Amino acid sequence: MWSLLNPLFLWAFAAALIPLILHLWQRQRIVVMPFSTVRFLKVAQQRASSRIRLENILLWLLRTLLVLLLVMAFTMPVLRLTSLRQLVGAARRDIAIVLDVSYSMDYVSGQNRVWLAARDAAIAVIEAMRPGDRACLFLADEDVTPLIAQLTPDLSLVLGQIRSLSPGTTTAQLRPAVEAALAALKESRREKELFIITDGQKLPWNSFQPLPEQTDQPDKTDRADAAAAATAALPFDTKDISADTAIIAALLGVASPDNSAPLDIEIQPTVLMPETPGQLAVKLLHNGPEQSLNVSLAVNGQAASQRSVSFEKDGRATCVFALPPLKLGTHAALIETSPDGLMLDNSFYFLLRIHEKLPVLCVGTEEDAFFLMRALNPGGTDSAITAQRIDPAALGADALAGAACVFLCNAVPLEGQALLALEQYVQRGGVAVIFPGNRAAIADYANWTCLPAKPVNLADFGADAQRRVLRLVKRGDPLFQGMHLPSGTYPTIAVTRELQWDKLETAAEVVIAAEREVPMLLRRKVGNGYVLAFSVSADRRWSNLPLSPFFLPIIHQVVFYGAGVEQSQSFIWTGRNLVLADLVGALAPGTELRDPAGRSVTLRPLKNGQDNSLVIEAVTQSGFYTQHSPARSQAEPAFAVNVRRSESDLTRVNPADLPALTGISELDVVESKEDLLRLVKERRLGRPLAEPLLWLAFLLAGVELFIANRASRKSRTLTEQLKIDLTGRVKGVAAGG
Amino acid sequence: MADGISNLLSPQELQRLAHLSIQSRYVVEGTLAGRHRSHLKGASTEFADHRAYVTGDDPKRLDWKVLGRTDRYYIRRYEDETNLRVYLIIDRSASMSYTSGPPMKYLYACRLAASLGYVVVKARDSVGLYLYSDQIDFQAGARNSFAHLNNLVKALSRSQPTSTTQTAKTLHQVAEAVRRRALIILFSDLLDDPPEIIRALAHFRKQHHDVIIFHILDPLELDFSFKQGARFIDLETGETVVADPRGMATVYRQVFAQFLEQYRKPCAEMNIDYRLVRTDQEPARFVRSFLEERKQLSK
Repeated sequence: MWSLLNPLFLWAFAAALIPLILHLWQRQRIVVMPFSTVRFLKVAQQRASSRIRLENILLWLLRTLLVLLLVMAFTMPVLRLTSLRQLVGAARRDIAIVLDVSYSMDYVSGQNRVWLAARDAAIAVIEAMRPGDRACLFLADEDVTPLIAQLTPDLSLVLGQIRSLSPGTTTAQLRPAVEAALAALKESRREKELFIITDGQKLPWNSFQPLPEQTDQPDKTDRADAAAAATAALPFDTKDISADTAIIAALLGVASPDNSAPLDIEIQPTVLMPETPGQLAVKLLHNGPEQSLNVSLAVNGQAASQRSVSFEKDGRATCVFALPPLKLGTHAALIETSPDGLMLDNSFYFLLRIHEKLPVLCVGTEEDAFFLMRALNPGGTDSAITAQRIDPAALGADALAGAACVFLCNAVPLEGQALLALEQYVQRGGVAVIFPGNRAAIADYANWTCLPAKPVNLADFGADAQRRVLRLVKRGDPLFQGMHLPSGTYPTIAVTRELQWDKLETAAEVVIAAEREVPMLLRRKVGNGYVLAFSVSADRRWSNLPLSPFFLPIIHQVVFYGAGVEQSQSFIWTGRNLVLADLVGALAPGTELRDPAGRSVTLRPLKNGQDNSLVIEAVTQSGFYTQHSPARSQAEPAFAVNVRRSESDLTRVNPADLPALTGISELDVVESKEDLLRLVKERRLGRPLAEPLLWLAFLLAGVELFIANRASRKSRTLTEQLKIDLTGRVKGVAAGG
Repeated sequence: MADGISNLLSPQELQRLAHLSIQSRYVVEGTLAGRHRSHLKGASTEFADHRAYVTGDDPKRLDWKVLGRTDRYYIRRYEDETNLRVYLIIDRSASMSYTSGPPMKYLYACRLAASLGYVVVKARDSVGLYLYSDQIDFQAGARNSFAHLNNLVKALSRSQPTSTTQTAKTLHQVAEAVRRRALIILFSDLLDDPPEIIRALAHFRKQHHDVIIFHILDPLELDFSFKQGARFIDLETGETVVADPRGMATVYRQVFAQFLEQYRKPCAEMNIDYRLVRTDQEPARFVRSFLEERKQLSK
């Protein structure tokens, strides 16, 4: 029935003798007090002796009991009510385990591996269960993996699953897994326990909070996480947590982890040409004590450069490498940092694609594309842009292949196949720029699903040309990177016709606006690419934009922006169900795709409407995926994969903040396997009685105080009773007098 | 003036006492003409009563008006005023040496006695002294001089409380010794056998003495408000009692109240002025209040 969680305090029961010893000691050190006469004392003692003896015994008992209660409270007794609970049918329990399988769980500190501690803790929790108890198991990764979604009494199955687990290569969110686990426990009528076993990293707990407002240009490393956490748009709802559900968070990571990782890269210029110098900026993150870090760059397996980096106070640093001149083609590059406790994020893989020329496709008649072709091939300079014009009828997948950017000049309406090919091109990372023209009516845009906004009207100003002062909505927009306009100049154009737009679609924005907030250039992200739409045509029939000095630089900016968008695919993050076409385009027949370990990657066909595409189910390994063609003796890098870097920030969560962070007020937090097992024991064995005992002791102390002071408090002094006045006259009558 | 009395009373206290006087509530017998009524009738102008003429009476004291109206011989009697004889009886038993902080009871009694003695002599009355424990240790007859008062005070100062007490026996002895009517003032803690003491007091009253009792007690003797247990030693007998005052204070107060009542009630019945004096009261202030109240009552 009883169990002591802190039996070391048993020796303190000897303290029960303290009141007796104090009493005896008090008698020994009693003071001698001369008094005028003791005859009244003797009489009073005779009368009160029985009551005094009774009070003394009562006080001794109270004080002894008080000491015993305090000692018992410190021994932390637990009352086991197993038999009673079996009688009322409440002895069984159901538990759910949420296990963090993010790659930060693979952190190693000396001989201790966080994952092993977490796995052992989960096993210990299961092993402490009794026959008949039920369990379920959820893995917290980027979303939730319900390994055992339904409560099962087969605990050996749960143990087997836990033993076979290993940490993944993804980040983790705890909220989806916790919600799934609570849902699994919801129907249970037994005592319920939810164990959240993680490494103490702050990141997975952030999913319990609503997402912050999106920034205009989110960091590339956060983008995927934000998308994954879209389900956490609302605060975590704790109303469904029943009162008999104990939620225990085990933070089993090291107290101050030491980890460094490359977070992201930025290549300048965005479009690399053969034998032209470039530079690579690497953003780095560091947790732990301040130290310098060695960062090395390797290209095609050859060490290219090495730097030593010191970090700022916020643990961030940027390291810049000069890129060596490279030949035409695709080159595998690797950034590596010094070894630390978490090795998985020490390498950063990416591809360097060297372009000979930037092929640009103009779709339109010669007349419609006249000014655009002149802008793309101004002549007299050694331009990197190679512009090719085709008629709208010739537009297809073949024509689009390899184009850094596609301009549609009065090319709408397009045929269905051409439109489909164009949308696929954009989805894969291409940039399509649409100039309207007289060929298209408003209704012709109805089939377009990738436009930034639907045209609603074609405004014709006739002879009253509207004067438009153009304004860059965001000066720091990547589209205008490197473009310099003279200070104080405002490009002005005269417009005779223009498209007017409906409200913006999702992920669309106005890039260039005319006065009165009239959109002049709109942009929308579609898949990995972008669609840009002008409000005026590419010839001078709608405006004098092609004649303005603003036309040529903006067209060149768009071309380089389009090439840069493609270049930004120098790496991808790990993920699931990735469309192959978005990664490498179409594979040539007989070409095999292999993962970084050299195993063949299985491609799964996916039918999405009329579109048939191949997807890779799980891109979980960081490194270079390669394509092997029988025509080529050497494998060619297809794409580079990196683990998400948000997981590299091992900043620990403050356990005291967790109730506020999660909204779960009754959240027990432990930081070691031993504490977890102790807590489990407390809950499994019964109710700890330390707190009630302390309250009882407090109550007894009050009673003791009352009894000890009762006699002196209740009676008035004889002087007060007799009411002796200044002349010595006695006016009152004393009790008993 | 007063080497002895200045040891007990400050000049300021003496000055405040100078204009006070003590009044006897009954007729007294004195040797000098004073402000107090004498039981002797004669050389006074204030008519007292008549009595029948007997042989040997001075014929000039006959009340001729009564004789003319009734043909009977009556003698007119007049009340005479005389000086007051005050006897101070002070207990110097060992119990009077107890103090819990204020002046010890004996010293307090001495200061009261000196104050009253000063008031008596200043009013040209006579003061005498009896100092006793288990017997009369010192006695001095009633005289009307400051030199005599100083001698009394010196005698008080020389003595220290000691020995057991025999209050009743001593009071009987004093009652036998003081033949003429006087004012008897007793300063004692009365820690003796109450019935015996009451009988001794009755002895005084039988001899028509006016009696005042100052029952002098320490505050702790009254209230017994000790904070911790102690081994209490009787100052007179040396007997010890271990007691926890917090547990028995209430009962002690009841017992002590009964003890006080044994004096209060008989004294009231015998018209003895009984006053309970705590030693934490200022003596001069107490005397002033007491005398003023007594003066009011005498009018």
